[in-house]
Amino acid sequence: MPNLFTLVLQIAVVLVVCRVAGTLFQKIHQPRVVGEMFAGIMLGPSLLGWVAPHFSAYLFPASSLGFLNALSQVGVIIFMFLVGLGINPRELKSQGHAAVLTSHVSITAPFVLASFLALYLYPRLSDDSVAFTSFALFMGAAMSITAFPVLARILNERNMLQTRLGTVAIACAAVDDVTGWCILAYIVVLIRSSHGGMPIWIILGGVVAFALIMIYGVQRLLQRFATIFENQGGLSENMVAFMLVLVLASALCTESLGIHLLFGSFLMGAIMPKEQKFVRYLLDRFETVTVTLLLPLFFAFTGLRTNITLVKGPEMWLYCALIVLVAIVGKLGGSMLASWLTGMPGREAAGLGTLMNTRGLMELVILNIGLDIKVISPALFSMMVIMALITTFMTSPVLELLCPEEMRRKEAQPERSQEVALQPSAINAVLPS
Amino acid sequence: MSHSNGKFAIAYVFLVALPITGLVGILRSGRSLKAPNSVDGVWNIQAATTKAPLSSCVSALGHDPDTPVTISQSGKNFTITAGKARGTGVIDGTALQASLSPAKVPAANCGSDGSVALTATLEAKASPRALSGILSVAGCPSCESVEFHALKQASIQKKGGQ
Repeated sequence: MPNLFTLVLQIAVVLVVCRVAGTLFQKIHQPRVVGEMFAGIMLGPSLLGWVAPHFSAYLFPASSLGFLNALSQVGVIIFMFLVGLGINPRELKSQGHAAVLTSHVSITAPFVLASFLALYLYPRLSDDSVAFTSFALFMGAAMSITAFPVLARILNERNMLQTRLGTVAIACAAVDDVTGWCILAYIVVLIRSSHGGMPIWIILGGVVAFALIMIYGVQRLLQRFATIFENQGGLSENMVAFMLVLVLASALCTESLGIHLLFGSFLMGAIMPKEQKFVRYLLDRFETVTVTLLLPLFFAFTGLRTNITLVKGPEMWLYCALIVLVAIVGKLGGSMLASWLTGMPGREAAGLGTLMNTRGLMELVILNIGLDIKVISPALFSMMVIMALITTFMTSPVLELLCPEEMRRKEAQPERSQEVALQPSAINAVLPS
Repeated sequence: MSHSNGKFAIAYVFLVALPITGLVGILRSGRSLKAPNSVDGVWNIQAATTKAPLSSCVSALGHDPDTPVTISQSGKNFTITAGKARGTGVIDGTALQASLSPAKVPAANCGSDGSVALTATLEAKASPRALSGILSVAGCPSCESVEFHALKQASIQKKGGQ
C-alpha cells in the first residue's frame, strides 16, 4: 500500500513548484511547460537531492516512486491521446512538396547524425547488454522528434499560427511525431524480441494488424462520436467515459503486443475524427486534469530520474556538448536547409529550423521509454534531458531574433482558409498557457 | 514529370534517400564496436569469509547482507547502492573498482573516513554473470579484507540487448 500522506505531499509540492516555475518562465517569454520541465529537474537529485539530500529522501523516498510513476504514466497516456487527437494528416497535404521534403529531411538529418554520433558514444556511455543497432536507432529517434504541442503553443503565443512559417512548421512537426513514434515502436519491438520474447515478425505482424483494425474498423466507430456530438451539441458523461476506456484499451493492446502503452493511446488520438469543434470539445474534457495535475507529476518523475551530477568531468560534458550540437545541427540545420532549398526565404527557413528544433515534453516521454527499456544509460539520459531543455529553451529567444514582431505581423495571412487557420489552435490547449 | 516535381525528386534523393543509405553503413560499421562489459543490475552478494574487524566496518555501511546490491551503469562508470551506502566505481575490461561511503559514522578503527573499497573481477561469460572480489577498508591496513562472490539477478525489465 502506498503511504498516502507521502503521495499527497509529493503531489502538492510538485504542483506548487511547477506552477511557480511555469509562471516565472512565462515572465521571461518562455512557454509555461518549459518552466515545468525545469521544475521537475529541480525536484530531483540534480538540485534538491544535491542541496538537501535528507529532505529529498524524506519527500521522495525510493519506495514511493512507483506510485508517483504510475500516476504520471496515466497522465502521459492521456496526453499522448491528446497529441494524436491534434494531428491532422490534411495539414501536410495542404502544404505540398515543400512540407513533405522539409519534414522528411528534419527527420533523416538528425537521425543520421545522431547515429553517426552513436559510433563515438556507444563504447563510452553504453554497455555490452545493449546492441549497437538498438542504441543508434534510439539515439536517432530521440534526436529527430519535435515537440508538436510546445511548438504549437509557441506559435500561438507569437501569433504565428496563420503565417506560412507557422502552418508549415505545424505540418512538419505532425509528420515528424508520427514518423518518430513509428520508428520508436520498431526499436522497442526490436529490443524486446531480442530478449527471448516473441519473434519480431510476429510482433510486427500483430502491430500492423492492430493498426489496420484501428484505422479501418475502430475509426468508423469513433466517427459515430462525432456524429452524436454534431447532433446533440455534446457527449454524455457515459460516452466520454467510454472514449476514455477505448483509449486505455488501445494502450493495453499495444503494450501486450510488445510495444508500449503510449503508442496505443497516440494511435487512438490520431484516428479520432478531426472536426474542429469536436476536437476542441474533447480537449476541454481531458486537458485540465492532465495538464495541471498529471503532467507535472511526469515532469517531477523525469526530474527524479535525471541526475546531472552523473555528467561530471570534462569528458562527460564534452559528450553532452556533442549531443546538444548534433541535435541542433541535425534538426535546425536540416530543416532550414530543406525549406530554403524549396524556396523559403533564408530568415524564414532559419525560423522553421528553430521551431522544428523544439523537443520539449515529447523528448522527455521518449527518453523515459529509453531508460525504462535500458537502451540508454542514466548518464546518457541526463545528457539527453539537458539537450531537450536547451533546444526547447532556445526556441523563443532565437525565434524572436529571426522573426521579430514587426515581421510576424507583416507575414500573417488572415485570408488563409478557416479550416487550416483553426486547426493548429486546437493543439494549443494540450499544454498549459 | 513536371519541372518542379523533378527538382523535388532530386532534392529528395540527395537529402533523404542518400542519408538513409549512409545510416545503413553506420549501423553495419557499428556492429564491430565493443562497449564495456555490463554490470548494470541487481546483484546478490555473499561474503566468502567474515572477519571481526571488518564486520564492524562493513556494518557501518548500513548494508544488510541479505539485501541485494544495485549497480547503475553508464559506460565505464557506475554507481553502486548497498542498503543505505552509496558509491561510485569504474569497470575496465573485467576489473571493477568502487568506493562505498558508509551510511553511519564508522568505528574509530575503520580508517579515516570508513569508506570501503570494492575490487572485483567480472566473470563475463558466466550465465548469470558473476563477480568475485574483495571488500577492504580504505586507509586501514590493519583491517582485514573480506572476499565475496556475487551473482547477477535475472533482470525483470527487458533490456536493449543483442
